[in-house]
Amino acid sequence: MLETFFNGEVLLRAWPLLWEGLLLTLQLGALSIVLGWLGGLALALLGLYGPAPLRILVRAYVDVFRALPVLVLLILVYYALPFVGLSLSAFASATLALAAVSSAYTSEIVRAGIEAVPEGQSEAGRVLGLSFPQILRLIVLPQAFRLVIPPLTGNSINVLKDTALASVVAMPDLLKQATQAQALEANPTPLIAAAGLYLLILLPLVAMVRRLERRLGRPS
Amino acid sequence: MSAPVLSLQGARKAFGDDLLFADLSLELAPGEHLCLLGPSGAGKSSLLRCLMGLEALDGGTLTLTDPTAGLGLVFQDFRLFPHLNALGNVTLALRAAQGLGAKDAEDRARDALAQVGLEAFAGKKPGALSGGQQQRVAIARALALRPAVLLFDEPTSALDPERTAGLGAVLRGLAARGVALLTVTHDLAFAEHWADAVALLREGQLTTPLPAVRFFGPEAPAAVRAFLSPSAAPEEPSES
Repeated sequence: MLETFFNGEVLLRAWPLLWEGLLLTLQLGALSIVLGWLGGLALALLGLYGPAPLRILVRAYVDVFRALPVLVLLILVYYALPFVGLSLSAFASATLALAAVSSAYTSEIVRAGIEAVPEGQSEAGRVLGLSFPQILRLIVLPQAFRLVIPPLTGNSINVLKDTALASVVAMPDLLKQATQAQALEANPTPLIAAAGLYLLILLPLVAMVRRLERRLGRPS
Repeated sequence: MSAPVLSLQGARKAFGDDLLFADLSLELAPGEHLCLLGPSGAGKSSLLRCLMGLEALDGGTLTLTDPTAGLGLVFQDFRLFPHLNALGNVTLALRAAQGLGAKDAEDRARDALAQVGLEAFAGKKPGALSGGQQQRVAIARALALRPAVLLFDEPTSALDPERTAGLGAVLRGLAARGVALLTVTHDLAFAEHWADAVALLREGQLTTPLPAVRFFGPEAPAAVRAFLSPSAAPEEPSES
């Protein structure tokens, strides 16, 4: 049993592969998350304050990318785009797919956060002579961000988890490296180790979301 | 009476078919404290919002003698910025809207907080302040921009009698420095005690402002007496 699932020698041999995979997973996750934040913020602002045609486009984008499975999008980007002359690396494809979906979710989260800031706050800014961009930047967004930190962190956890899908387009992320090592060694220990690494990174984040949500539930 | 700092002539405001006032005129002298009374829904708060530019007037002209010194408004619910401390609430517009440097803005903000007796609370967030203190931060926030006129919407609605007297004293101090004050209130006792002049807004008509003694005295116009004694006009309960 121990020999099969928790084989120390196998783990030692597989470790360099796993480590490389982990680093790549973290890079992919971090880049997708940050791009998703930026895209989501831009989409939320356009969807709330942009001209009517843009608002409709944003709405459509958000709905489509929340409905489309990430895996389907990833495979489309990687295998279908080359037919129109756009060949992206596995890493770029995965980043694009993850960020596109994450920005749709982030946009909805940010929009809800902005809408949760009372209208009276904006009026108070107007009465003091602030311009609309100043009201947004100095009054509305700082309050909205406070509200959206827990759901935003939750969404980022999902993005980090979905990086494992990149193994499907042969990107050597943590999962891909683990399956490769498992095939080489004919032993599942690397897979167990990979699962352990995912938990090691994600469990503290999940606990953090829970803490943030509890704190936000209480009056400050 | 010296030249008015604010003059509103022939103002008209309607929400759809609901006409609030059709030909309303109003003047404020420097350092004058005018209280507007009137039943709920008479358009008192809407008048403040129109003066402030939060709502557009449908007609009439608003003239400020000194265009560089504008109007300030203290909301009934204060609307402090909860993510900033008291000092940050006051410096925000000084820096962003008036373009002051950090040092100048802070000096002026501390000065404004001192004028309302809150210099010791500059570092506190609104959530850590009492209602009365929050209101004073809101006053300091408006005051720091050096307006010619300060508008107050129901300033005593959240205050107990002791704090109401404190507020009255703060307002009297502002008026003594030449700031014109226009207060909309349901609080008859506050108006009687602290205002220089009192007027009634009812059914679209604003009565001529009278000194409090006369407004609340037996010689007041019939419309005022009808408003002040609900027994004489039971269909219009006063809401003090």
